[in-house]
Amino acid sequence: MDFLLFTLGRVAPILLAMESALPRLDDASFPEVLAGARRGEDWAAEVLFVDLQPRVLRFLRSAEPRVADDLAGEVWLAMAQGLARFEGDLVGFRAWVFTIARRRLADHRRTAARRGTDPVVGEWFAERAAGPGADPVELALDGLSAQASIDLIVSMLPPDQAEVLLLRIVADLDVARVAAVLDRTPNWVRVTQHRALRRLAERFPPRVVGAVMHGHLGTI
Amino acid sequence: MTEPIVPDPLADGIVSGSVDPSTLPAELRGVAEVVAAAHQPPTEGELAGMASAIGAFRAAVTSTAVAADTQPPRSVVTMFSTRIPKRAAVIVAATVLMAGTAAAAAGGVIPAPFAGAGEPQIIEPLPGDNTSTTDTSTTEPGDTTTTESGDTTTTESGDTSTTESGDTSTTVDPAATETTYPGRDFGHCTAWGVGAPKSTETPGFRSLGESAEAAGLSVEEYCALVLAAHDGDDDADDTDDDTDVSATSTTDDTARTTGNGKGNGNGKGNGKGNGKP
Repeated sequence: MDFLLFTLGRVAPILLAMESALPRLDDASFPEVLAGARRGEDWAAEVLFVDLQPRVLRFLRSAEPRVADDLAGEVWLAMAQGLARFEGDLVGFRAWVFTIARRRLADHRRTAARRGTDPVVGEWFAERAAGPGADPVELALDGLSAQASIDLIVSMLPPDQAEVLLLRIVADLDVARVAAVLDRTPNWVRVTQHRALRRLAERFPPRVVGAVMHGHLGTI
Repeated sequence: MTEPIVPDPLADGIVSGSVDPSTLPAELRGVAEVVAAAHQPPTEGELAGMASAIGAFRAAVTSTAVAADTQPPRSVVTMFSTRIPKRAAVIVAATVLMAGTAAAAAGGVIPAPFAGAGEPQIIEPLPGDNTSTTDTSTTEPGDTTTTESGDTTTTESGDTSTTESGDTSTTVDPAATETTYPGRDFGHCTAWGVGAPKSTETPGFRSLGESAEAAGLSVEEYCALVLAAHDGDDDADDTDDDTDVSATSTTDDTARTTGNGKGNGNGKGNGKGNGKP
């Protein structure tokens, strides 16, 4: 009896710890998490939520901050409904989720355009000027939040460049996946990404970018 | 023109946040720092509402799974929503065509394959042949004689699924015609005057010739009487063949048992038949 109590006392905490410790979403854990999510298990949904919700929110808030949370809810609903049909790895899953997010964003934009409530029709990420007195370098060095950093990037780039960078940064997609999500070629994504980085480099700091770029990074 | 570029490995390092900004050229540090800031871990606000979101997620997954278990697969739904109607339409059309053709054969109206336009060949059914039609209880053999009005499209009146007109408004008083002129003769007479000259030597008009001969009249004279008598009935009933289209899809067994009525054959030909119970 004492032995059983001793064993139980040793094993129970381990079991509880195993139960409470959620795996980190990565390539290795993804199949198990996906299977659990398909069964409607809370732990799997939580793993997906912790990994994806901040990414989706940051992406949506950079484009439609007022309705981003609602759109994110729609993304989760669509994800739950289509989960059984998904096939692929973790990167493919993220690409699928952000494809859904883009569609929800597009639906919202179309609806807003019909209602005449959105003045920037047809642009995903309209250029937004930085606020008065906002020095990009100063802001960057001052420790921006993730969302503020994303908003800053979006405000400085044309829509296509902003979207490419966001899918690379926020969604953590490689060039090929971004190309698939945007229905573009990988080469287009690479060129657009280069232009976006160069444009940002001109802003951080703009005074010396040309000489440094030529001196350190070469030319085409 | 040459433009400075960021090499792919370095660009990938910057956007992924895997490059330490302090190791980069000064001019790229700002970019790298902003991008790195965008990679910060989730905040509490970004994870707010996780419990309710997970509950909704679970409910959606469960309901979707239940729906998938209880509802037929999409392919099946699609099959029922699109393929079956098309297939059914083809089957119905083929059935109607075959039934109409069979009834037309029984009714004696089948166009010759290479007959001239407007000159259908009428084949007189053999006695009792109308038993092969879809409705054998409606009239006596001779009363199911059908006619057509110059349209080479087959016309029949014995097929209840397509052309039977049981509208009582079209009923002809049997007493007006039955004693003098067989109902089939009206149809033959109608066809006689349409298109090229006919011959009583053909099977379709042989009975008409016999009726005219029995009456001691030429076919033209005989048909004039038949048609005049029938027109009188039509005038009295004030009916219009075109209006029968709306009634072709319905069947009135009561009217049919009287043996009187008009029928539009498959939407093109017109047929009228008189008979008695």
